[in-house]
Amino acid sequence: MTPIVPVAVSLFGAPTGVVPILNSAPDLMSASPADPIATFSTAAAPLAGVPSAPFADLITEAVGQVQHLEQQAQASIEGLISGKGVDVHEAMIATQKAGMGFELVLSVRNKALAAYQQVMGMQF
Amino acid sequence: MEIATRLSNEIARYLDLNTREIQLTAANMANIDTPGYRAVGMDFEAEMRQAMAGVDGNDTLAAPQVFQVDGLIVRPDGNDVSMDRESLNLAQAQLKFKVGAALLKSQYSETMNAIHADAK
Amino acid sequence: MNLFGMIDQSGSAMQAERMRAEVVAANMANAETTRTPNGTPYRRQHVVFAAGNGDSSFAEQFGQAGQLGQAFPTQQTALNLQSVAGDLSGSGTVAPGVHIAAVVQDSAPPLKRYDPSHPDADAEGYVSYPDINPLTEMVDLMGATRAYGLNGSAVQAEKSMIASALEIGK
Repeated sequence: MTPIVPVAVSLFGAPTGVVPILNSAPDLMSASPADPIATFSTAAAPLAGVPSAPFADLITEAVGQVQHLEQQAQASIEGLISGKGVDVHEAMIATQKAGMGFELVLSVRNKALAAYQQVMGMQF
Repeated sequence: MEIATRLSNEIARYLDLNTREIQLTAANMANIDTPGYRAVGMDFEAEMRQAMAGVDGNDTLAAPQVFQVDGLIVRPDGNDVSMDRESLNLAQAQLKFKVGAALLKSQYSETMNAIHADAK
Repeated sequence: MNLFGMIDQSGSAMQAERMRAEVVAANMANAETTRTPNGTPYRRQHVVFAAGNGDSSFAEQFGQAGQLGQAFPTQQTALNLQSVAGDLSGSGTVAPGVHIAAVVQDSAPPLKRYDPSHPDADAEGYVSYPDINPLTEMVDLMGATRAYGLNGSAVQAEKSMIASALEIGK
């Protein structure tokens, strides 16, 4: 999960709730074991000022952006084949960007789905 | 979402400028026997620096400044295109383009590796 | 203009150089022709290059409408087109390609050689030969050949750049 989530954070620009907890994990380790709940609450304090956007909104926004990239790629390819003067490398770059964006969103979706299923499979 | 890094955008501009450079060189070569024609060129380094400074936005590259090249010998028919200079520029621009394409490809494959890092 | 447009441009230059070589070959073949279908001796021809792709709209822009259609436009017309070509660099764009604006006949007087027995001799016994120097024509041909090769290498470079661009996507 770790390589994907920091990438997702930097790409989406809106921090999820997961990363601050991961970052503050060392603090939890070094804190006195006698007061774990207080340590956890202070560690979680930075979360208070963070707007918690629903994950679904982030995914929807990302899909919209991928669609935009796809449209740009399509436009540049059409410009190339219709002889409007779009360069080959421009069309290739636009296609690659669209492909990469799509792969990223697909990966995030797969991971999120796997995490959800893992959570749903937990025995309470 | 910025799927491409700043560096890969700069490399993309590098490719654009090299394409423009080879356009001008090809135009000069085509007009090597046109009487009165003056060789045109552009300042590649200055254009690249300008492009790198302004590469954050997604705006399209402004058309590079094209001007007549100084310091060339003018032949009796008024033409000052030098075959050697143009051949050299052609070879350089072609190789620079290849380098840029290879670098860009490695940038993109890096990103793809990161996306697929957890693939079993 | 993308790389495919540039191949067109270099192709137009190659075509123009080839036509120039053809004209030179015609000159060399007719170096001793004293009688053409219209009765006069052969006159040396040479080509005039101009930037641009020779569209009629292009010619009209510079007030030369109709002149390109004439068989033998005057030297003045050819010069006007040439001077325009030199102004293209200031606008930041270059007119694409090059074309042969005119095939001009030399206005030099023919060489006269004394040969009364020749069927084309005039009243004084002089025969008019075209004033064609084979050395000049050979130098012109060499120039056309090197320019042809130069633009051919430009086409090769453009092809290789398109191939490199495709590598990005692989």
